[in-house]
Amino acid sequence: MGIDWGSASDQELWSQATNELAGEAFGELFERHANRVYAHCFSRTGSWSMAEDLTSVVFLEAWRRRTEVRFSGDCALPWLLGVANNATRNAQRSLRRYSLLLAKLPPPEAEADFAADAAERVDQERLAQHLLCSMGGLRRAEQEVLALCDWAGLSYAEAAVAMGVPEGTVRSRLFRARQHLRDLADDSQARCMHLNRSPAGLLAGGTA
Amino acid sequence: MSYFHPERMPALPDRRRKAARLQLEQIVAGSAKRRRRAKPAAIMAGTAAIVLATGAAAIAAAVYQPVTDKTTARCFTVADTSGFATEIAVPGKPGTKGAVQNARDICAALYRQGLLTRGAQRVNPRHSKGNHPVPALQVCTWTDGTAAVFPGPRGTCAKLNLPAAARR
Repeated sequence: MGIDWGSASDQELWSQATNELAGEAFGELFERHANRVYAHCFSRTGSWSMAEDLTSVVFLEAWRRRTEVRFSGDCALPWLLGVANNATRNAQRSLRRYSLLLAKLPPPEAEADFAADAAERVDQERLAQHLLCSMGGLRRAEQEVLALCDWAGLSYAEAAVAMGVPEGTVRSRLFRARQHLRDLADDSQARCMHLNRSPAGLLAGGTA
Repeated sequence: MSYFHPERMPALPDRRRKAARLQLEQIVAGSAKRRRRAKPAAIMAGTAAIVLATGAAAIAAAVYQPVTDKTTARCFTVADTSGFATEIAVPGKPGTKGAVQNARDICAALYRQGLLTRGAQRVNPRHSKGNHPVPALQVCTWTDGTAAVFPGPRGTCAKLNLPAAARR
């Protein structure tokens, strides 16, 4: 066919959802955004293997909720990260819902399969778990806005699409979240000490 | 505080990515197909109501019709029969007529090259190189039997009161 998926916008791909090209179009959306969704799921769970499963869950959920999509400009990524927030919030429930489909996929890769990156991946898991522990004292919405803006790199406007709130709310929520995180720094340092390496230590080691 | 900068994060493992994409495509395609199959009953009921209300003439535009004249075709930039369109024709060998075998492909190529842009009022002669976005395109049969290609989702032809072009 004459459709050039590579140059079609997300919105154009989404518009194919009702016709015979829907499968191909969603495949292209997956190809385009899977890595960002994967990274976001990882930052919210601290587990690479869980992030692999949740990436599939996010796109299956996106298909199920396709009529609710909101675009930021032409881009569906912010909304997909919002779906990822929901999926990771109730990760076990999300994984249970799609367990039959996930069982048909290859199991999460063993560390030996990417030995060169294994050490870095382990470090990133520790870092993510430490950060998640540090953020444990924050409200869920504060954790999510930090993950979207500071980690996933979304703009205020994009985060607003992801969270389904006005942009002003994102700004004030992010401000409060950062302040709250600073206030809790001493407490979280002690509380998360069992996780061995702090983010600062990892950053000094150049792995993050 | 970009601990997980997207560009520095590992990509989804290749084997998993391919399998997950394939699974998603199959589920989406299967689901879309079921939805399309479920529609005819509703469409038939709706069509019957239109027939009763407005007479048989209304049905003609709701069905497929073959393209009978392939010497030319039109590429529209808006889903509007009075909107801008450029006529396309494929020259044949001397002594033979040209034939636009696949109007959708040719119109898509014009969009891809940037010569046509959705909503534009004219062909853009100063298009930049590279791949430009191609909208979803629907092929309808114009009143003179030629193909008319409109940007828009499935169902665009019916909305424009034109028959969709039959595949063969």
